[in-house]
Amino acid sequence: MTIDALEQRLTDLAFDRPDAGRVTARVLSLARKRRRRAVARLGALAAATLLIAAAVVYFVPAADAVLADTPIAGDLLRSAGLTGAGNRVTAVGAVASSSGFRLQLVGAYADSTRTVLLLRANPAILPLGPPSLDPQLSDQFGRTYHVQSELTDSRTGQVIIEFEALAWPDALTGARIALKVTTLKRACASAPFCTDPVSSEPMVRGSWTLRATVGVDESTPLALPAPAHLGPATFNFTSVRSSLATIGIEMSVKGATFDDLQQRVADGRKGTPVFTIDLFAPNGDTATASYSLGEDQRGPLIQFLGYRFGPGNYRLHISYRGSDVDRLLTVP
Amino acid sequence: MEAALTLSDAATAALTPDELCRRYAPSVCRFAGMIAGSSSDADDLAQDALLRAVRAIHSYDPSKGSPEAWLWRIVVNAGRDSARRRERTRWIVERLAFTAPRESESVEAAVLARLRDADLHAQLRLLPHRDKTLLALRYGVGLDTAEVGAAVGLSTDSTGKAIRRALARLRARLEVTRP
Repeated sequence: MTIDALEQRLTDLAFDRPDAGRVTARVLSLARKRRRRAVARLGALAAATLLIAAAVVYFVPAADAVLADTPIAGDLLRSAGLTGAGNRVTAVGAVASSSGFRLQLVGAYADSTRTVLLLRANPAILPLGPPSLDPQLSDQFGRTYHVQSELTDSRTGQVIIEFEALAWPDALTGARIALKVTTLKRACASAPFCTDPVSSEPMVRGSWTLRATVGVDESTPLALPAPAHLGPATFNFTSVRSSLATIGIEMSVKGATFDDLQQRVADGRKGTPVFTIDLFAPNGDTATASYSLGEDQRGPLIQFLGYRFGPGNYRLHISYRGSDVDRLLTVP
Repeated sequence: MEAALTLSDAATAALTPDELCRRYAPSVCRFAGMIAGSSSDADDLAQDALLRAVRAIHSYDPSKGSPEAWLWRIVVNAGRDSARRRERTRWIVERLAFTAPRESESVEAAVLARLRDADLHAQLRLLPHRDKTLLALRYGVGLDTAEVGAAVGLSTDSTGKAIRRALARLRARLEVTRP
């Protein structure tokens, strides 16, 4: 009798449950999506950029003969993750010429996670690459900032250099920045049909200094998603912020060490990383910029950088050791 | 990923991942909502369980049983994995809150009459994982005892007894927490 009553209450029990339609949509989306390889880190990005640039030089031999007198191309803006920044990209126009190369600082953008400079080089150049050839960025306080990534298009001479974020109090005061370059690498280093062939030495020494004043786009904190439990590891969100162009996410990890997250599972090739993290825009496009792993006394720390293309629900996908989970970030 | 799955009850019907989700997502979501500790955990569990099933759809062998039995074994395993992660930190609370089953029909009847669904659900969630899995499959999803047994790897008789014990433990919790 009493068992029956309890059974009936359980049968009729009303409670919140996941929305089957939404879960189905996510599952089918994830199932159809190929397992993504790890996000290219800076080294891989630089290498890939070099390959692309070399390929462009090879397949478009006359492309670097004339610097296209056009605005920064939309695809490069997308590559820089600045499509969401709108008119917050500061037009600069500073020019420096040396050793037959002309560098123009076309635009700049800064927020609390990165500083992006948009340049045009004539003749075109290749990414400079670390460590000794890094361009130096400094602010009015004399502080210098490291390069995070570089991207060039040797067809047009357009260059995107991304530096780490400007330090306090630049966000309040704005920043007077100076970019100093002492070495450039010609884009036509090896192709014999280039209009400006260089037989053996692609490096060009000189002195280029470009100055600009930029505002710093403040980011706003977003609601922290629920922790993600994947296998033995728990990923706790400690900060999620969004500016007009960037989504910054910080996480701490329990149940896995820094080395655990770096492991790769043998697959007969380079190995599959056990940990991946990706961000997808509301339209499904990838919005991942980069991420870095750090560590403190309490365990691993993850700093993730994504591109904000506009407002909407962004999907953060985390996988670890065969388990994966999605977290939605509602970005205003 | 589009591998076909032949249904035991409809030999001509091939089950694609879409069809699998269409047929079973509501039940899996109900199961997940019933046993998970929070709505976000329920979301994770439902997604994880269905994704495992979709990704393993090619491994289903009709000669080894119905697709339902195959699916619920996957779902139960996903639930068990999820619970293991959480129970490491919760086991002390579980132990402290545990009370031996008692039989007290009159008290239970009074409690049940006033019990809100939310309170009953909360107490259900506090049961040991195995107990709430059994109850969620039996009463939440609506499987019969044999189907529940197939999903959790027990004989029908043992499953029936295990469900009774789980009900008794839930009853005991309701007594302890009665208003």
